[in-house]
Amino acid sequence: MSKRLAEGGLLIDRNKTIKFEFNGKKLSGFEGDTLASALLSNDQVLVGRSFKYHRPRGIVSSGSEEPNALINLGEKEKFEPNQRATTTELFDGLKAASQNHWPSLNFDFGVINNYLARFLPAGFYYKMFIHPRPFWKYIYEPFIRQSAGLGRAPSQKDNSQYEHFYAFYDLVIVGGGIAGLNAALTAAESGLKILIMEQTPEWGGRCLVDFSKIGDETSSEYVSRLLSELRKFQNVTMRSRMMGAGVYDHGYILGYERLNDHLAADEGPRHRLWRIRAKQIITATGSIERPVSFPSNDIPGVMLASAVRDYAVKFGVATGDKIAVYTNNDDAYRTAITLNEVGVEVPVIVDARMSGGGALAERAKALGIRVENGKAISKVFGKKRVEAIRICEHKDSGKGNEKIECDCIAMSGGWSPVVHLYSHCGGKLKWDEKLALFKPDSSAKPTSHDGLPFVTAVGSANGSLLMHEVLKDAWEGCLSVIKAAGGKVKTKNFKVIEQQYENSLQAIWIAPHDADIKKRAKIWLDFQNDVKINDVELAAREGFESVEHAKRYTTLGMATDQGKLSNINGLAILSSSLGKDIPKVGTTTFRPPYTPISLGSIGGSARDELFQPVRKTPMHDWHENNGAYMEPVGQWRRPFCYPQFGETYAKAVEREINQTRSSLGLLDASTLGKLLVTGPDAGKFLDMLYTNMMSTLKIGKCRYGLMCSENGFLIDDGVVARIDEQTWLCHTTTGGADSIHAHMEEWLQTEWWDWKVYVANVTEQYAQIGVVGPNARKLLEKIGGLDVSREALGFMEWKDGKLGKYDARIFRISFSGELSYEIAVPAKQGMAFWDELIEAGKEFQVMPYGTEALHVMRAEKGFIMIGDETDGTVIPQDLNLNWAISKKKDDYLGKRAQERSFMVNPNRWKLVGLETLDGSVLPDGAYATADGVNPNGQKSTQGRVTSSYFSPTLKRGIAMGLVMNGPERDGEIIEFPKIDGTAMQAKITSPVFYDPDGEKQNV
Amino acid sequence: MSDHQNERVMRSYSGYVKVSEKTTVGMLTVRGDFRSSKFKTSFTKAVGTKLPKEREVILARNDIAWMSPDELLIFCDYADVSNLSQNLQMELKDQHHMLVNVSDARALFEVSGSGIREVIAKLAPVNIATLEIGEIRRTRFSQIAAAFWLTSETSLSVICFSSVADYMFNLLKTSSMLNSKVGDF
Repeated sequence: MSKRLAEGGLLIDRNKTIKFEFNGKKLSGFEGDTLASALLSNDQVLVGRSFKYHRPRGIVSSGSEEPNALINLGEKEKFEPNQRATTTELFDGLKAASQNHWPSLNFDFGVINNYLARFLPAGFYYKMFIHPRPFWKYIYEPFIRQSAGLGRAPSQKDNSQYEHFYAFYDLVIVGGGIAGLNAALTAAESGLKILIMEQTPEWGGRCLVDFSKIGDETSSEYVSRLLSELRKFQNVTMRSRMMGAGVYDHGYILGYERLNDHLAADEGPRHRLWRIRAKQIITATGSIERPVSFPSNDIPGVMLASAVRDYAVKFGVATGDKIAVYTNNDDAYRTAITLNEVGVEVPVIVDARMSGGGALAERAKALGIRVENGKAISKVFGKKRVEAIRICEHKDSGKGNEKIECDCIAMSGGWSPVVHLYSHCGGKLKWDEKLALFKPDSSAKPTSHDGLPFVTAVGSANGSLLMHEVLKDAWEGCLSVIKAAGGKVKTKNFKVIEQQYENSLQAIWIAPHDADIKKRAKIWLDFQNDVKINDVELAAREGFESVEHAKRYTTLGMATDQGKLSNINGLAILSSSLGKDIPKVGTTTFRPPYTPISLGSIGGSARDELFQPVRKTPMHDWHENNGAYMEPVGQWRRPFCYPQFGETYAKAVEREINQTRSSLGLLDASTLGKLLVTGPDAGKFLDMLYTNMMSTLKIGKCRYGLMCSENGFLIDDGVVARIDEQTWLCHTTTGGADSIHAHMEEWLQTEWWDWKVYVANVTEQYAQIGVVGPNARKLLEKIGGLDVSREALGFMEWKDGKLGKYDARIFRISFSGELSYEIAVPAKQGMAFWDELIEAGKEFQVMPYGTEALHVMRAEKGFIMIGDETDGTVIPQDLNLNWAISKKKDDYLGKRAQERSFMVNPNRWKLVGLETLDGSVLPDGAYATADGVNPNGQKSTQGRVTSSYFSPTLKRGIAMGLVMNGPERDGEIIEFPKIDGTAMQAKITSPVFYDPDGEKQNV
Repeated sequence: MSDHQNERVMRSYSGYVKVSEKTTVGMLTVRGDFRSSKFKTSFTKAVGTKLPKEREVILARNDIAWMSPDELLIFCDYADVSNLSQNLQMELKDQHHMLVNVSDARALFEVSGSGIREVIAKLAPVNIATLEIGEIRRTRFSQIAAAFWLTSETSLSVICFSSVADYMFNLLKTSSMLNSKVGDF
């Protein structure tokens, strides 16, 4: 059984007991434990089930590479699936549950897949679920969705806080082991601004476990000294619990900081995403031990040798009573020696190498541990827990017969440098034959904007596995980086530290060497996704030669651990199946993030009221308080209508229109764009931007204008007012304010840079209110102060002055066809002015109206709306707006384009009104069909609806549309098929349905 | 902001820095040819100070912020904008220029306390550590356009469009909540 040892444990505090729950069972651990070490101390080795065959899974590793120990963590609004027990720090009240089983972890019905494994080979899903085709949608997909996924999806909204943090450094070092710390110390003296981050809570990396002494100091003294020296430097920022998640172009690197995942109380942000710009990056990310591929290597109790050592040294946990070691290198002997020192029995060290190990092996033997060279494990006894092993000659097919009892296997198949961050931005790798690993190719580092390298790997992440090599490599790598980051190297000689000689590793990709097909079908490569050696071999036989294709076909390395343990073993099998060298086959692509980061951290503070900025007019709160149903218009929210007494939106719109047309309505028009254009060349400039003449507009007058793109298409419209000799105020559509401002600036800055014109966007300087209806004048006269009579302020005129106590600019313009004034006051006066209009308007039963009433009223008048009648393919001529296109001007933007043959084609669809014969409302966007079919065999069309509403004024449906030769076909009836198979008939009419002579607005 | 009279604080929040909105500040946009010595002379005559240098905010009773190579923003009391504008108009009348009252189009926030730099670093992609007092940055705060400058080591001013003032206030508030201190500055 796995248990807590009587003493030891560098990281735990045995005086502080922590209570937690696993699958409802109440357990306890110590402060400093990870969930994994605490589970192991309670003999809970079985922690989950695999994805495909639902096989029992135990803890394999002690870090972020863990493929098996994935758990549902927390409850309700703190619930999170797929959390790794090995990186989850224990806290009081932690609740965890295992995943992917039913009804229980111990007895899982899904394990039936395990017995069907013969019928579930690689590519099974692709082969099985493609025929018959209709089955996918109705049978296969629903079934697969039911059984897919590891953890549960959260059922409640996450209530934690998250945030971003922008930071800038000369040098960012990822990894707080001895390589990273030494690099930081060397660089710190150069005065560079440095950030060093470490994903775990502790600094020092593997050295605390692997070496009792470094030089003359104990390893913990050594690390403490480095830390205290580093802390003296003001220019060094040190962050633990922060993972380098990804490296991107131009020195951009993401740091994922977990602030309170280890705390029972939830205070402040849970995760912080550091968005860092670095001149240079050092990845001192260490290396990960590889499993050995031997039969039944997935049974709980089979663990990485380094992890077994970690649990013993860091947490005082023995992962078994009798732990067998299986290795192809010297490092795993450290595990045997450590176990022996803490009193755990090591019945055998199985070393695949005929020549055996070096000094460490000698020491193990001296301790009386049995060492078997040139041997392999050919069989593991046990189902949910290792019970015994059988060993044989490595070179054999597995015919050994010696059975050795043990309940844990500490395996080591060598080490793989963590090259992920180095590779994210294009760093190339090379294969080291001697060490059997991919390591960074120092001649092909990732390069930045200047073509120079900006990421450097050091230490074991750079393939320097031995301690003295790590220190030397960190020193050397750092010197070049300091220079590249703009620092000066303060030369101090490198202090050489000697380490014991280690015998070289022997690459073993399959054990025993000649394992037969039955055995190969039981050798796991990917523990989480259940990919075995025979699956990869099958993929190779079926022609998946590219490592990227084989990965996707077999799902090797596609699990949540992204193949941190399995990739190298898998591609070694692929390359031997293909008869190619490993470097020829290559690795799959390393993509960020290094381990999954929370979606919350990516969103940062952008949630709830900060999810998106909402632009608000000065009267926004009034609208909301008065029951307005708001709709998004750009980033604004505008009242669609103001429903009262529980009426429907349609009824509210009808009431608002009837009230406005019969008496008085108010519109919040503040969102309309207002661009001030001034300068000696402003008239000339506006003549180029608008299709009609603006330079001739008289001071005090307004003119409706159209703006086109260079290609002639209508992009915006609005009323322009001449303010003074050199100044015009251009109104744009709500959505066009920013883009038309940018459009103007672009022409001024790139083409007409010598024209003397300045533009300012004053949209938000004013609250603008439409006072609309037959009683509009009476209301303004009641407020008083300005003569707004027909004579003093004619249609399409404006004037400034005090209206009541407000600083007003009144435009007499109409978008509804009624007598109408648009009044702009400084935004800060807007709310008071609105209140006064509502109060004073009571005798006229004044009502605010929303955007839908605005739309209907303009449609009744046949006024076009940018975005309804236009869609980027419509020119003003299509909308019969020739009257607004100057023929006198030599040029305006779009003029030449509008003369192109396609634009002057008489068959272009043109604007008409449409009246359904039965008075119903045409569906918006419906097409009118014509005789015959088009080249695609579809029914020909001859027009489409651009706006369609029920008109409360006319008490029937009205629509506008673009129809081929439309204006010449007045009175003709055309047909609009509906999606239900029936069709509506509509008569072509004038688009002006209401008051065609404009008598109502001109009073 | 320097000490404007009659400033009324509309809303404020105290986390590990203090955030307050100033609602009665006047703002005047000035555009013109800053390279012209004639313009410089007229400007100084009307306003009393020289033109700010690139990215400079002249911290005075009336802060004057450089906004672009041909645009300035002058801060003053809300009621003084028209006087200031008239003075400038008089001096610049025969030169190409633009004067626009934008007091109502912009919102101004003051952030004060010892952690101001890091509160901004949560919102704007700016190397805040190297920003000097009186240096303006036009940037974005999360999803909106903004400009800001340090008025001292423990206070800074932020402006944004007034339609998104609520969003800005909530951003600053969230970023300065207690327990969210980064400790990087």
